[in-house]
Amino acid sequence: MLNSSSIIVRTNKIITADMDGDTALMSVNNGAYYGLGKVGTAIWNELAAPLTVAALIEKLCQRFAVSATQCEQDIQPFLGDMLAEKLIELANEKSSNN
Amino acid sequence: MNKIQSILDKSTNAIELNLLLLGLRIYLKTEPASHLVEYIYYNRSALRWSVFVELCVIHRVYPAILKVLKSMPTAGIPTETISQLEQQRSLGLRQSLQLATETVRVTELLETNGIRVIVLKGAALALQLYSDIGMRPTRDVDLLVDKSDALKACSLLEQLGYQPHFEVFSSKSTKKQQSFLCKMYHHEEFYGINYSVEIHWDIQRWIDETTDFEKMFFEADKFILSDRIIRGVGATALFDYLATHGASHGWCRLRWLLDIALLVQQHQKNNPPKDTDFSDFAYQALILVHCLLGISVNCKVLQQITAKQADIANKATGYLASYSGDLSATFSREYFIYIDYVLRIYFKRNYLLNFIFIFFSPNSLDFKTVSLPDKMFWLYYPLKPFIWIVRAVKSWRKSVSG
Repeated sequence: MLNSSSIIVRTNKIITADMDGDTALMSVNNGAYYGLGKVGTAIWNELAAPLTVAALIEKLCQRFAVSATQCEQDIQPFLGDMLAEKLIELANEKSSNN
Repeated sequence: MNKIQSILDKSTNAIELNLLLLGLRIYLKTEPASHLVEYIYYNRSALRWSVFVELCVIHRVYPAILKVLKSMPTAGIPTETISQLEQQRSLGLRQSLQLATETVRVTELLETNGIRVIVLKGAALALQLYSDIGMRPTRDVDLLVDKSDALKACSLLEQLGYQPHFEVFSSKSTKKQQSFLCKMYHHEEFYGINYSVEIHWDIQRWIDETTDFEKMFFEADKFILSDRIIRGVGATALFDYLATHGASHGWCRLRWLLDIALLVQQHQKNNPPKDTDFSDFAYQALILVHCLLGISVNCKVLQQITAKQADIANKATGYLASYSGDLSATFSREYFIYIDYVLRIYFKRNYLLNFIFIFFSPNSLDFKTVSLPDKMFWLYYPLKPFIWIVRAVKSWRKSVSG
């Protein structure tokens, strides 16, 4: 489970392509194909470099004019799925545990 | 230029083909977008959108065309046309991603075994010219290795489960046969369950100059694909490669011309080609991207072009305009147009002699049919017609009994 201080980043075994502003992803490890919409693409782009969940929420709030609470509620399941699918990973497990 | 336009206008799909070329010129920003709206308006009754979609797919330029059409919502383009192109783009994009992952997997295997690799076309070219993998549909993975690594690279591909087509390095072949096939074919094709991979050790089919792998590797452009650095052909060698490759297929797909147009725009490669074995192909490429796609070329290119080079470019336009998507459609009208084009290219220096030599030389099938020791290798030449008969009879018997 991710908390606001978890540092997350994209995994690098992924190949991406643009689809009219959306993003198509393919895992090099298992060949699974994923499609990200506008918000998913924004999250994906932000996670090019390691970022805490709190910092990610702050950036998304600025971009999509949404409250931090609402944003957190919306993205937590999405981030959980991305973590489970190994599209993102914890950049620093120690710091997230502290 | 007028001649090329008149050839296009004679095509049975002239209206749709001209719209396709207009769309590509807008993509390349060599023509204003407003011309598309006017063109569609004036041809609205005759324009067959289904044929247009078909041409986008045949010429493999649908991602670029879709991008242009979607940027013009009021141009009068049927929503069905957009959705057909989107559907095609989704399929193509998925395939391009799959091939890119296979490129990563295969290059990783080769490089961890000490083999240096340059990715020809495919993912590398998509990133190099379009900055996105989905913008250049691709059907296979083409890799270039040093000739001295070709045997090892082919063995590694077989270990991944790929089956060789030409069997250049078959374990059943003698050393002489392997060395002969290695010179005869410039690559080996491998078929897997989902993909085909080609291992090249020479990139030119018709040119006598052999590939200087060291130079190409040193000048290669680097890209990050997944977690790997992959190398694509550097801009200087890329122009010659794309021009020769396009010419060898009679320029039947506009995708190859679009690649060259982008390369010329991005690297200002619009000067008269140097007088090398590549220059005829380079002149053709420059004439065609200038006349069809509106790319500016140095005025000396147009001044220096010979009547023969212009004639060959006209032939290529005729083939492109008649191309229906099947390269193997033997004895069709477009096939004869292609042969006419190819013969004009072969009738230069020693190309025709090479062609005749290759035609009468033994191939891997001959070696499989009759096994001769290396000392008697020369016998394959006089025996070739008889070996062909033996093979034809065997094949006929198999089909009768099967």
